[in-house]
Amino acid sequence: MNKESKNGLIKALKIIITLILIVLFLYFLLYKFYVRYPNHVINIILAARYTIIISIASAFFGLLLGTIIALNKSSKIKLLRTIANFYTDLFRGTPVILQLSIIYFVVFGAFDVNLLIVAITSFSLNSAAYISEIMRAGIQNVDKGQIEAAKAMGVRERDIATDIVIPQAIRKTLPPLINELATLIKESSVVYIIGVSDLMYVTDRVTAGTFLYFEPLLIAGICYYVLVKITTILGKYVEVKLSYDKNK
Amino acid sequence: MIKINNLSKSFSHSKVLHDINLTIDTGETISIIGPSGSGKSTLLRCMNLLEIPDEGSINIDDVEITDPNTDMRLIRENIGMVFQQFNLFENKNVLENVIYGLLKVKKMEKVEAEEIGKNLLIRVGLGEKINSMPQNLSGGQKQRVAIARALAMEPSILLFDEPTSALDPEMVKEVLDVMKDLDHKGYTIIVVTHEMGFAKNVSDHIVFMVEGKIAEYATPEEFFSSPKTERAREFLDKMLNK
Repeated sequence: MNKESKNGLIKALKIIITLILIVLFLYFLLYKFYVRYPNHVINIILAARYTIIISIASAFFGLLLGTIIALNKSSKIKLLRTIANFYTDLFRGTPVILQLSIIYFVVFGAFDVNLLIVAITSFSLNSAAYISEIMRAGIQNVDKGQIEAAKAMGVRERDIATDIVIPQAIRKTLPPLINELATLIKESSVVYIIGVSDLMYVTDRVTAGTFLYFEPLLIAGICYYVLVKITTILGKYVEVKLSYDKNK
Repeated sequence: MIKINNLSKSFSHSKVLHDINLTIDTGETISIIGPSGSGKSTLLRCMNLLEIPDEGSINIDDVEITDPNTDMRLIRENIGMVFQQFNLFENKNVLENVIYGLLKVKKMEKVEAEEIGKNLLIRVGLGEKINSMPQNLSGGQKQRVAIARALAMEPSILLFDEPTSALDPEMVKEVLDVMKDLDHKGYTIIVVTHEMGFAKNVSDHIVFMVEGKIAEYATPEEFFSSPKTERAREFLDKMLNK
């Protein structure tokens, strides 16, 4: 016990020292830039809020749509299966930047919509395709015996899906879903082409305005890294929380 | 009364049930025994339509359940089933497992259902475990929860598909004790089992199956003391002297 707590302490110390060193190093690299353009630094960091909004909203709607698509993939009706599979194929088989452009210029072309909505729509549709594959695997992994047990009691198929299959599929698919959110945080940087002032867009403006590249890009990199890190840590936390053995 | 007429069932290329005829009286306890692969479980699973027979019919109390127009869910409501692998809902705790059917199928109020669930769990000796998750139970405890879950629906027929085959030997007894307790309580009980002791002492009739056919249908006394077929003698020899 004593040895364990001692080991833990050494581990914590190591992490703290590493963090201090990294912060000192970054401070040394970025100090001059910050003194000259304090507003730029703040603007870049604040722009992360759009990145966060787009990724979280897209992950949310993508999960809803993706789950529906995944359920259709195991539907008894062949037409629904075909449509669901084609949807996935289409969105996985074309680049995000093309999908975003089509949705911005063609689908929403005639309307004056908020750019954020365009971005969220586009990324929701895209991530739904990936999430539907994740969910399909999750659904297939749910123990058939439990579905049979529910059927044998006379439970409706729909109730079996919402009460037994989906909750268990979500738990099993949590790690890949968190991974998808991390991917969204990084990939959403593409929205700068339609002019959403996200992390990448503001960074680009700053480099254009100051003719300095290293510092703004480094700051953006740190922001992305921290966001993804927070996501994965949260993911681990939720995973532990959701594991059934916990609530004994 | 369950009446099975000329029932046949095939899986892709192999025929698992050949022309089965069997009548089971209300309130009887029947043990279906026989070597593995003889179609015991398939026959059982046909009775609540988890397997759809290819030919023949099954009537339960004058309702032909094999008629494609019957409402499968209504029939299944009245038939409880206990599986070899327990099949408890892993995302629900013990009490939630037991009352799930009451809430979703019988549309009962939660308070009322919980009352029934708790009483049933006490009856199977698991009053202490109502808030446990299935993952934290032993095999024997899981199977007793599964039995409570089946009983909660107040079925008139109970199907047991090798209920003790996945259990450690020392847990078999606790499950069999619960099952013995159900005998002569008005349920029609059909058990696919390898527990010869249970078959001998509890059941009213033995159905001995070989290669998808009923080779013998007899009372336990007849079957265990003087089996008619060579195949049954061989089987008993193996089972009783293992």
